Amino acid sequence: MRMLTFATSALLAVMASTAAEAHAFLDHTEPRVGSTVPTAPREVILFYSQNLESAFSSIEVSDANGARVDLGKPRINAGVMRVGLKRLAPGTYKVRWQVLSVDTHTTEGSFSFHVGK
Amino acid sequence: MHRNLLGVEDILINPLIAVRDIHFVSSVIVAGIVFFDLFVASPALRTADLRRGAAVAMFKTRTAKILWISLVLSILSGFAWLCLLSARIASKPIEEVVAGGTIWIVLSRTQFGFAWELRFLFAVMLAVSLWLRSAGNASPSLWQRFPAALLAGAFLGSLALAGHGQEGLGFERNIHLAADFLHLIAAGLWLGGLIPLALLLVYLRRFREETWTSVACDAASRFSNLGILAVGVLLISGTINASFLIGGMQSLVDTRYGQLLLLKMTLFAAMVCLAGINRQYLLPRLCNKVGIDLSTRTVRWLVRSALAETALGLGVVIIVGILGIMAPATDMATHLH
Repeated sequence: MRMLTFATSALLAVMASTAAEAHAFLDHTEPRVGSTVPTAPREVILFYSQNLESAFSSIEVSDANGARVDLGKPRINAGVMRVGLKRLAPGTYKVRWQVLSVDTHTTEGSFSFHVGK
Repeated sequence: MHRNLLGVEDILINPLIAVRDIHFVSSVIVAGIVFFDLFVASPALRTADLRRGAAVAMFKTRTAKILWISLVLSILSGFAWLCLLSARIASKPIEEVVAGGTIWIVLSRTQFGFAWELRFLFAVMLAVSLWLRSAGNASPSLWQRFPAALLAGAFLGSLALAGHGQEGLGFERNIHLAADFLHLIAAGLWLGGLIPLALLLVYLRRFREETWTSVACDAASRFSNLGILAVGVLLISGTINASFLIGGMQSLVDTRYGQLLLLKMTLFAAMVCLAGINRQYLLPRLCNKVGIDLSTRTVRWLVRSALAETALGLGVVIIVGILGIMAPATDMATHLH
């Protein structure tokens, strides 16, 4: 009984602490979400909270008219996905992504960044 | 900024849950029977006169049948799991992912696929090991039983590679994966061993051959000791897993994932209580040479208790099947903020 009490206390104590985030969530990006960068970036880099499956993860970067400005297939290494960009003119660009984490859960999302002053 | 694609309607009607449940249950039974044979039945029967009696023969025949059916079921449900998951990943109908080769991409280019290839290999090796054992000596030695237990453990434990145990990065992921692996093995030891324990006790009581009460006492005692070890491992590994997937007490109450986990913990606690009653009251009564009538009644209660624990355990496994496809509470909390 004492062991059970101890185990329950340990369980509650550990669960009261902060946990790691599960599933592949976007942690941060380069360029930053919603940021304005003075010079055109050569690539967009997305950092996730989990390792990704490259076969089922994708990213699209498009300009204000909806035209694709990325160079196609992204490169994925563990929890980092990056895609090269064409030469970007000043303006607003939208990044849409969909990823499959190694625990087989799909997440998707989008964000924008601006080029220019 | 991002959203998870799984809603509550998906969970309620998702055939993936049924397939996962069947796979979990059958894999736990496979490992449980093999573990029980190694750690409980063969040591308890090693010196017993009734080793070649009718009770043991019936027990062996029946457990072998359940073992083979469970192994086939786990392989078939594993394949169905792969098909359904591929359809979910590709957002296509199942016939399209089979015909279009998406299944092959999932199998050859994802961590889940790697885990499935590995597990299929373990299943085949286990089947061969069991077949060789049954074709050879009727009473195999410890060293002949050990490879089967190792393969059954690998088959069950490697399920950790296909679930939330993969979450996180680096060292954190390795800890989570190890905890998940041990959690599965402990579940196999305890939950999976309940069916063969009940069968052994039922047949010992039915045939009442010489020294049957001492064998029943020995087997029940060994299983009880194994159960203490399993409960300890389940508590520690479960605590580690919960710390990754729940995050805080609030999420345990506020999120659907947390509420289901609470239900699972309640069922687990009920199982522990039953096991405690067995150990404190029934086991001493069985082992104290109290006479045939009382022993018979005690064994009957032990069997009932094992069946009740099995029913509770089935509830636990069904919840595990649901939790595996849900976003953990840590994710749900993220979405709320």
